Amino acid sequence: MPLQPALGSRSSPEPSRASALDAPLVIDGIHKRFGANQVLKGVGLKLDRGELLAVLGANGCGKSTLLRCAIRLLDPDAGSSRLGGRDLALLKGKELRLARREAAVVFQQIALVKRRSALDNVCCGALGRIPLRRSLTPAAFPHEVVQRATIALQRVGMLDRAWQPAQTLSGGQAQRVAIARAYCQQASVILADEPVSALDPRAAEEVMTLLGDLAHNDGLGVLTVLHQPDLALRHADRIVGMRVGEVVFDKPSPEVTPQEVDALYQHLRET
Amino acid sequence: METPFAAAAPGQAPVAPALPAKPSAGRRRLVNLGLGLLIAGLLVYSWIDTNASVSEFVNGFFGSKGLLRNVLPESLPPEVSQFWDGFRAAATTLAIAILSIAFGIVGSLAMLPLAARNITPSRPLYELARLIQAILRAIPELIMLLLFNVVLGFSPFAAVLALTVHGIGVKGKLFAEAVEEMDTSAVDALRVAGASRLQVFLHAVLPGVRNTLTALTLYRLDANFRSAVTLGAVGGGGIGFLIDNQLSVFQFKAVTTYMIVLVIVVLAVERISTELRTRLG
Repeated sequence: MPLQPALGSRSSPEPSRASALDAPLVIDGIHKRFGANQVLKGVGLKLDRGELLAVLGANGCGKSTLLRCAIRLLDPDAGSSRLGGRDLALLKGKELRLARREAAVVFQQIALVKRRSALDNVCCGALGRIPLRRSLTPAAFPHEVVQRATIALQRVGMLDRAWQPAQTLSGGQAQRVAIARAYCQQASVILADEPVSALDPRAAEEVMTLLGDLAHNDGLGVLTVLHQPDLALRHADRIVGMRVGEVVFDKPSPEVTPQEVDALYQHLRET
Repeated sequence: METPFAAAAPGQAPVAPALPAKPSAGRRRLVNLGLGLLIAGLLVYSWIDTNASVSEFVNGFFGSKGLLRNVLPESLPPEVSQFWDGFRAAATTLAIAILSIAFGIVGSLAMLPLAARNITPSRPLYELARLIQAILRAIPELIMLLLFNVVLGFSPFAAVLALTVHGIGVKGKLFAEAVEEMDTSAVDALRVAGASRLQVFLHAVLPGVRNTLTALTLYRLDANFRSAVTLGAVGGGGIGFLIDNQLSVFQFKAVTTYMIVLVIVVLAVERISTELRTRLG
């Protein structure tokens, strides 16, 4: 997929100089239990600007739960998540809502409003920054928001389908529109929960390339949960391996060995 | 190792393995017996309490003063001159149904953000909204109309209000259930984007369930029309009122005319409603 040139509005990434304080997302010691099932056992990780971080692990190892706890879509039992320097555990109500704007989420299911156009869907990414009276209908969205959404659609190569209803887009196209919406949100972090699970290999490759491009050219921190180790090894800068609610490795992708990846899924074969 | 899909040895017919022991059906049999007795008891009670009688049933239809031998000959042919009056009155009944649906939609949508479990801001508010809807549903439209008749006098608008109030209870529940069954991934995406509850409602919830709500509304339109006919007979106006009037003075031929009009209009409303719902997919 030919990517449009990156916008110059964001600072270029310097992950090597980033410290834990500068990192847009720092998760520390997250515990989460559902009934008798301890899903997360003190998980911690740091996401830097300009970095594409992939989380690998078998079904049920806690990857998606971690992602939801990171932005308090689920409340963790213990531990903290600092987003944009603010500890989300200390916030509630409107403060939490506004703090969460720093993270945009791309879901596994195509989380678009199906009957609305691609452009309207992308504009909705900016809802957290639009006053209520200017957001009662899509026609009332401020001009700047529509412009930003147009740029975002161009960024993901979907400008020519701006007026197409979301329900008529293919899986790959819809996921790119969802990424444009995340981009329009002007967040510093994109969290993607298995964004390519429902896509064919080519569309999956395009979406991963796009996420990498947003990290490397726009300086966003991108954390993606994946089920495809090959995609993670090809596109991610760093890989976190999880097994039964714990991080078992966290290292740059070139250093991850096939045996380490294999070990993440070992217990599935044993059962 | 034995596997679930182990093949038979070459040249040998596969032998069916022994099934695991079937769970005992004793408890289920007891439950079924209990349910059967309960239903039989309810039927007997209803028969006695309503003074039901086979002979009265037969006399009502086939006796010398029954419907077929007494009323039917008096009802034919229909009074053609009454057709126009019938259609005028049916238009009033339809207007009652349409206006009450419109008011009902406004009331139901206003309660929707509280009444759907997956978007409500708090559990107590959800319970309160559902309780109010249950109470509104529990009071029949006819009783509502009698109450409004006391306040407003006999008028079609009293029927509109009666249907509206009951409809908020019915549509409110149906709408809330539609929202609870919707895919909430778009809702989550906008919540994370920092959208307020109202923004999420306007841009993810409503567009997500718009077609379902429209289909439910159209379905309720023909139900409301039939209810409006009934309410007409107790002062709500419209064709129900005309039928009741003509029955009270034994003008069965005019009643037949109105019944024909009624069937035509009900079938037309049902047909239009079904057609529109089909197009909505």
